[in-house]
Amino acid sequence: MVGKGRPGVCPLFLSVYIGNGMNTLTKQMKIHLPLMFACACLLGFGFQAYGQAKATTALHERFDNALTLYFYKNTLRMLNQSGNKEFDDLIKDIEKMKFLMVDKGSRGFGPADYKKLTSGYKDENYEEIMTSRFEGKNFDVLLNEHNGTTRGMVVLVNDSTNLYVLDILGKVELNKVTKLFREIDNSAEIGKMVKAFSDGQGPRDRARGTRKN
Amino acid sequence: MKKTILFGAALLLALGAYAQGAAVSDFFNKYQNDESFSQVTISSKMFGLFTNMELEDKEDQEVLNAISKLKGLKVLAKENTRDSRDLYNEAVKTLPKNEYEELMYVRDKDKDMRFFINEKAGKIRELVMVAGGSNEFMMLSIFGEIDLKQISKIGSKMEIDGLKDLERLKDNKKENKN
Repeated sequence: MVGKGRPGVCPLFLSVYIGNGMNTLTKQMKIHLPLMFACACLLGFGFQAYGQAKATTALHERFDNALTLYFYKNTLRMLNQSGNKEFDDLIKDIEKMKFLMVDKGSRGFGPADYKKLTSGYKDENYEEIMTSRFEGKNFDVLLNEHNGTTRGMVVLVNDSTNLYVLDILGKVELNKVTKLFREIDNSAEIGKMVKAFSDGQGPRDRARGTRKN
Repeated sequence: MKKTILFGAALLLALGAYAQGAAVSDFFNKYQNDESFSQVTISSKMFGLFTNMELEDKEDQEVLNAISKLKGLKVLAKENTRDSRDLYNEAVKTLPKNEYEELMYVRDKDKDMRFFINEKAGKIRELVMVAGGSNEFMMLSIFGEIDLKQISKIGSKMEIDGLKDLERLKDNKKENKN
């Protein structure tokens, strides 16, 4: 899990991965440079085609101070400290998850902005599979499918003060989502951090000794 | 060419058979964007995502099978409103009598509830519930292949407030009525 601009678990893994990768890369570059260039191009196209939603990225760019959590496959595996097989099955098709919590009051985010956001997802071939509005709160689930295969899912929760976005790249069975959150919640330090975020007591708040409602 | 046209027509008929009725759809569309209304829309894909669930309880599995045959669900509701009665009357009048058969009528204190079904070729394609009280209104439409024996259980399992009223259908299934 990585909070934007703050230390987390993933940067450590990332640096190890990059460190080893760079050594290998240097050796191989001398031998197979043209082949690697072609692979890099293909990978680039691949990531572009299956990346997380542009609408999420644009929202994050606009609200760059939003609380952000990234979950990668390895991070999710780490959560499964008890070695629960069901949990492994649950996350096996998730490539990446990004969670954003936007404080709407800071820069203004009205109903028209929310409508524009959902339209943005629809423009990227996300389909609304559930929409709801109750007492001014929105809860929407959008699914991105290609030839019957789920590529991604976006869950939006919009209330008067905050906008929550969970952008999942890959597939998760909806009936197991509650189990996913329960496992994250129960998993030691990461669970505590997530809980702190969801209770509105992020690291910055704790540093300032404040608590949001 | 003929084959293509026939295939297209058959496809349209098949899709239309499970779609929400036009009159109900128009009513929902009229108020869908009005922020004073609460609304829930669930598509067939959402229902489809639940079909892979493995349940040990036989009754739960039966409910799940019934849910997997649904093509959509829509709820439109308004609370703390003076025009609840007008909305209730408008919604009931919206339903064409030649398409929707009244299944049940319930008066509970100050609240009226009507259940309608749209039946084609012996199969129930849509269930509509309209409820109106002194200050609240709700319209619910479930469409797809509907099993009335399971619909009351779906109401209790899905834990959506408005759906709980579907439990009233438990002892008033169509076969009992006729």
